[in-house]
Amino acid sequence: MKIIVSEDGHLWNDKNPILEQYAEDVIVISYYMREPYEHEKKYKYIDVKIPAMLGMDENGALTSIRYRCLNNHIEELLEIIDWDSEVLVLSDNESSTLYPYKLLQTIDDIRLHLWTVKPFPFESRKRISVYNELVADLSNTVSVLAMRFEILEKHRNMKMGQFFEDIQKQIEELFPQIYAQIRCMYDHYDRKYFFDFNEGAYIDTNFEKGFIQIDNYDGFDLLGDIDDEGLAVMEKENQMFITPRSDGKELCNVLKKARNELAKANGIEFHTEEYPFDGACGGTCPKCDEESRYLISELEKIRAEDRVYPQLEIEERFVSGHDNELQTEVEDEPFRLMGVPGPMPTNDSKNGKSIKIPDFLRRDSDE
Amino acid sequence: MSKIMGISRLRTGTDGKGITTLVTFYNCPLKCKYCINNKCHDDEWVLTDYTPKELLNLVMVDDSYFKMSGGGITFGGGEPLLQTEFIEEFVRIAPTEWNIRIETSLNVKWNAIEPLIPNISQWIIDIKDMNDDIYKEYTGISNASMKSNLKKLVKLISPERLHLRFPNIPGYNSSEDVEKSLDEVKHIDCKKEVFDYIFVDTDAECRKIGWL
Repeated sequence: MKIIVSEDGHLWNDKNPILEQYAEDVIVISYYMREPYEHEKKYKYIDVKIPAMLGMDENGALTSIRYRCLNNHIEELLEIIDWDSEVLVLSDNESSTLYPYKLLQTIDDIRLHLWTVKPFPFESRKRISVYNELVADLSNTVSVLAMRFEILEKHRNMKMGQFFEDIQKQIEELFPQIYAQIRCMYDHYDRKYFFDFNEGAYIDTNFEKGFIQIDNYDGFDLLGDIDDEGLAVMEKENQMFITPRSDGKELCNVLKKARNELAKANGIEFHTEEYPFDGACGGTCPKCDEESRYLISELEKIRAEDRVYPQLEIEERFVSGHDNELQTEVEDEPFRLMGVPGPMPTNDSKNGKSIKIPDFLRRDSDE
Repeated sequence: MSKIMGISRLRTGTDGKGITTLVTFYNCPLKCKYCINNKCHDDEWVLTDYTPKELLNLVMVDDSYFKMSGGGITFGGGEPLLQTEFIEEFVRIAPTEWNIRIETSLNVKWNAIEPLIPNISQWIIDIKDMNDDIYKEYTGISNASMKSNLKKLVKLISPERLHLRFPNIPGYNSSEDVEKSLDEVKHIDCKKEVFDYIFVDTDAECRKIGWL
């Protein structure tokens, strides 16, 4: 995955030490046309030529001179990106850090991931307006992480430099998780994700267009490309999610055997297939659901009184810290792609196996 | 139609027997300090309403598992009893073999409870605490309605359909308080569960990442 930063970012720029670990994949957009510093030699630079001009580049959005000049370097940028289809653009409250993102949005073969930071509330209206204009369209994007700088009581007497040092510590811990979670998205071509800071994970929104605000950041509207009073609408059939769980694969195997037994008990022609899913499993998947629906439709052809439902025993558990956990404990898998926030499922594996497998399911897997 | 907060499939034994799908609604009369679903008070951003039929179409995919395991749909939230009409209609159209359960504070008007009594397989009631002062401090409202509703409900349903939950709430009740709560309902011969909240030392967590 290629990582793109802009030299004039406040948080994300070529001096951020986090990037050193990923040096060979980092591309820096530079507008300053000067000899590279020593640390810069490990990254790839796009030197954007900007004509000398008097005065400020008043318009910070897509009609700005910087953006238009960057546009002249699209071929160069794509050449560096090369065969990598995954690109993470790290931007912050400096609007120009979003320009590479806006440029790459126009390229269909690129799977774009965006990290962006909302401007401070005390920044100028112009800056905030430009920023909002740039994030109004999030089409052609696989994942979005939108953060804001939280100013806490302890920050109030800090200088700006100290404040950013504090933020830096936070993102140093966060970034490796983000990087790893994005890698989990590679094989899911039809999904989109939004990072939920409450969950500490990307939410699989799994709908085709637009994003919905699902974190608690007040007033942060991500408009997406469905315009409904500024809010994106999630398609209803995609709202139901499976939450990955540590015993997901085990549950999947139990349910697969249950489907086989159900088909056998009712004389239904049925062959289950293995779905090569690599990652945190929630116990089912589109293939498993397809099989389930098939069996339901076949059962409807049989008179209700003649249908047989073999017993599947699942023990009820009195699990501590059920739906009022202050915070769930960290689960085994470091990468979590989670569904729409709802009550957090308990980690069943902590309490031993909660699934009692009845005798008719206790067969060798190759039977 | 109702605004649905979440639909969580394939829950095993945590919201009733068998394989269940938990459907959670927005809104709740309580404002619990440690609510895990505090988002339920924020339905302002939600634009998606469901009809009972739409919900049924969604959850039908697990119909076979429900029937094989004695599971079904559990309604929670938020407070599901603020959506009684929706649940009533859903129960009317759902397969009769499904078990429909409610996870509730029971702190609503009786006329939100009564219509569902014949059709709900299990009432999972989060008591919090039987002491009104403790209850009010934790949730913001009195438990008088909850206690009154519980008294009526117990007379109308068999005990195996009732499951009472008593949390140990750090900073709000003690183990002695929980014992007193249990004592108040000892005449009700039903499942009673005492459980602990998982408490994280947030100061320590903040120190780890340099925020303190």
